[in-house]
Amino acid sequence: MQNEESLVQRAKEQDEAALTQLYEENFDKIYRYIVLKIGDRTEAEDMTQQVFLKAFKSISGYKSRGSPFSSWLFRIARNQVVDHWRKKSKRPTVPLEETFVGSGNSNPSSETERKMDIENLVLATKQLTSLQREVVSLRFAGGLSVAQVARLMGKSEGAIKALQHSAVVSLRRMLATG
Amino acid sequence: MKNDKELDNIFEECLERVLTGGETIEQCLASFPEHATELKPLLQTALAARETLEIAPRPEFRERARYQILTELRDMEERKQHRFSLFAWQPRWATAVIAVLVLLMASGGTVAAAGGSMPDQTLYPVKLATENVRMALIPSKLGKAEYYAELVDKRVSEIVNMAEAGKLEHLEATTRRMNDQLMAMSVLVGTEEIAPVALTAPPAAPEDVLAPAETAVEAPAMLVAPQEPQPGVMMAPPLPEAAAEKSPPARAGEPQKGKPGIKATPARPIPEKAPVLAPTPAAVPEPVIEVAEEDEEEEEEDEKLDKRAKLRNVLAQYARKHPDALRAALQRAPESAKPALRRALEVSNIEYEKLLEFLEEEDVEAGAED
Repeated sequence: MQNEESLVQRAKEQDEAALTQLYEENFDKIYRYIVLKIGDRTEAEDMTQQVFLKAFKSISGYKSRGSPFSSWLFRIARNQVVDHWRKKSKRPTVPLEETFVGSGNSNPSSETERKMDIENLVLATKQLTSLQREVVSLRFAGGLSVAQVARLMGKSEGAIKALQHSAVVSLRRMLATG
Repeated sequence: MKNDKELDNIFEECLERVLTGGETIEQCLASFPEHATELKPLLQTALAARETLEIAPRPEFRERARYQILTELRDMEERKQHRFSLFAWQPRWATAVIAVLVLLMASGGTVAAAGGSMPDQTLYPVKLATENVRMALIPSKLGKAEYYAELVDKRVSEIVNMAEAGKLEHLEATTRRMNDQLMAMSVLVGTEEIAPVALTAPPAAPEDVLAPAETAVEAPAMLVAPQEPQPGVMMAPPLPEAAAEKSPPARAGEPQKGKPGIKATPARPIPEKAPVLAPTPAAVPEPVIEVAEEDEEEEEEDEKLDKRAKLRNVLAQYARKHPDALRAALQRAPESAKPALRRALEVSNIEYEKLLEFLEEEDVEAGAED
């Protein structure tokens, strides 16, 4: 944490090596989080770039408050995703129910080892509640710990563990039948 | 309820032990045999999800995005400093000339010695600073692109050197520098432009003081009014190419930006017929001037084409040489240095391919026009 603090301090002074290090350490995590939330890899690249541009432009006002720098980036990314969906909602889209086939009545156990693909995973996470989806995105795509997710979402660790557990139960059911 | 909570905790504990502790699912579940049947498929699903999400953006996008972000930040800083600078009136090229003169006078020997230094050596920052000054003094875009090619060649040698020495930090920094220089070259040659949507637009300046440098440089000579004072019309001084292209290397991809401080030169067409009774000395030799100007234009165009052909040859040569050198280094380098080398190899392959494709397309177009 001490190291990150000095790194961020240097980044605040526009030290390019420090900015580059923060970028390198976090870019892929933020990208994965956005991919899982929006389901479009190319668009996710552009949005990730926007997240970093926004973050670095306003880094002088960043205060760590004991959280890692990545938490701040995830918060910006989350807002970016919300904006994305707000804009998208103004355009007509195909409802997910029409593109995602699956019900809970087949035998899930025979399918569990099947390799998932990203499209199925994205579709499956869209069937989760918004809180479950956020936990899965931050935990599995963003690679955050339960404690970090709890802090970011303003919930207790116990609540996050419960959301994580129920999300995986639902995912398993949906992926097995998808 | 208590059971649910317990199961949530065990699930999380096993997940953490498998994800970060290197245990297998079975090893972890051996600690909780009573929940093994229930948790095993869930852990498999969680791990499969995590594995599926082991995706990454395209490496060239990642590099380009970094380059664009840092360029934008640099611009922002520069604009901020420019606002408060005592020397804001001073053209950037003049600053560069002063800088190079001071540098040469103060430390000619040091600069020369730094030329061959490697990234882990004390004089390396001097080498980079000298390169920057030299770049700032090159007036034309193609000239800059050519110099970038030369710099990329130097970076490749440094990368190979650092990889073999196992100096990871320097290797990564040099790889990034090489990627940036390749990007800057792409921007200059015209294959890439900083996506306007991806970047924040610079603060708007009043339209009447904005003249895009390109327009000013490329305005046909025939349409530019002679330099005579006109009451009520504010004339801009003639714009040398060096002044028009005074952007520093990393800011090359900003054709959409206005250049504050450069005033638009109103273009006045030369009248078709000169007054009969009062022929000015300039009116008589006008056709000669036209021919001379056309010749000059043709010469300039030929020169540009020559430079482009030269650049294409240099790039074609480097497009073979650099990947070969990086591949050879990849075989000799320690494991820790390999990811950075692979990235360098990937980015250089993609960028060279794009650059050459673009230059060849342009040649085909030029050939078709001929």
